Amino acid sequence: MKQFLAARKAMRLWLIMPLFAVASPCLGQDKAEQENASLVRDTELKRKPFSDAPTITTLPQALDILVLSRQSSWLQIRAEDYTGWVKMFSVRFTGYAAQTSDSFAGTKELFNLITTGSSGSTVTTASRGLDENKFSDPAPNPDAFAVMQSLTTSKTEAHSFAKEQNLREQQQDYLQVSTPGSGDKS
Amino acid sequence: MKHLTLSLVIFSLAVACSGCGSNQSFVFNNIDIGKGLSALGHTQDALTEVDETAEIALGRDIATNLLGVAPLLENREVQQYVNRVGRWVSMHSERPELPWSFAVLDDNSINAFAAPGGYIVLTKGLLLTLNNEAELAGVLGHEISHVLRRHHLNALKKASGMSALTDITSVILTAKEQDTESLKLINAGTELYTRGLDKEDEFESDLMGIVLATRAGYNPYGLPAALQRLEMIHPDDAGLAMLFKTHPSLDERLNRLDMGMASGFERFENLPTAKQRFARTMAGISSKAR
Repeated sequence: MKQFLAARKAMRLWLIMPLFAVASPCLGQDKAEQENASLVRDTELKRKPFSDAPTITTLPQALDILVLSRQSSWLQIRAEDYTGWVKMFSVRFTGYAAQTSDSFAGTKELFNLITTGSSGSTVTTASRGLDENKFSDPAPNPDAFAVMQSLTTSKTEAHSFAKEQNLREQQQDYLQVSTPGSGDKS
Repeated sequence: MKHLTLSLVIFSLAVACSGCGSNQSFVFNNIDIGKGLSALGHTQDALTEVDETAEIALGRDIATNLLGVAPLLENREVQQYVNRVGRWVSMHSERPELPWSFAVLDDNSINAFAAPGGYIVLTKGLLLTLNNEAELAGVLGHEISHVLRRHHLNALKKASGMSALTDITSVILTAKEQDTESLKLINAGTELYTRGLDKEDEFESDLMGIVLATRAGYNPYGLPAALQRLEMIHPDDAGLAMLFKTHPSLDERLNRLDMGMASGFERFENLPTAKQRFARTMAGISSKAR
């Protein structure tokens, strides 16, 4: 029986290997890849992720799109047989729709099977959530607080941590808080 | 500790209130605070200092409660990492000297909480939703901003009726009742997380959060990217229920960020996201994630 199961597992792996190979070029990319989304406004589709890059076409508001990857404030998308880049704020994700209409669901499921051992049908489910009663009737944990305090980082430590990744401090004032409608957005 | 907390909080509230009225002085333990402060000649300094000590003391107790909600994540590397990112971001704020500390709860739901004084608690579920350090910096920047602007403290003052000066005074003078009252304040401060803050406070923290992350050298689009990641999760997911209940919609938050970042942020397009370091650190917990 065990042997049978092992053989079946091996066979399953062989079956999905070619698909895995197809999917692999994008595995190193952002998690945003191949997510369903839609446009919140008429949006210029750019050839490259830059404002002054050539415009391929203008896509209409509410159009359903597929997001392939992310680069800073730009998302690479596929829509109406075009592939190009749009500003991230033009896009709203509709993750919940992905389960029913994602044409890449099959590939994703196989990928999940390999990496997590599960078919992935529950991959978007986080958990049951925190128990709100524990906030209204709290049980203090001073031991955990002592641990938390022991983790406190010094400024010097934080500096060298930032240096490791070449994080360069920038000058930027806080933004004016404005309410929608009152703004001067062009 | 509780005794100290209450005295400090009530004292600071009393001082704050004395500052609100026009030239009115307030009598605290037979000391005329209004007169005392004028005599100091540094009213504003004295006010801030007392306020902050009380704020930290209260925050400690609230954070201790938050840590009772779920166990700490047992991974020192991840805990240290979050503290380093958070400390670096907080150093670019107007209150760099607060005792900033951060903790990750071993819970798969998605949420983060800021307690007064600089104590920030987030869930493992939130960490695993993120994709790089710039996103984490943006999220921590948002929480740090709640502390900077004293959003929770202000909401607590409003909600707990601490403006009733006679009640406060009687509590101070009756030591026996002090513990109960102190506990009430701490518990109200903990329960507040299930009710949420004013929507405008959330929008303000979003806008401040991206600025703090940018000043710290991170790609500024981390926070909006993190919000978009939350959009990818089914909105009925129980792990998001509390966050959704206590915050404005993701759509509204993204709209506000869009407006705020509309001009001037292009120059930061190429700032790093530190994705590799984030991935390396999270590798230790992601395999056991769900």
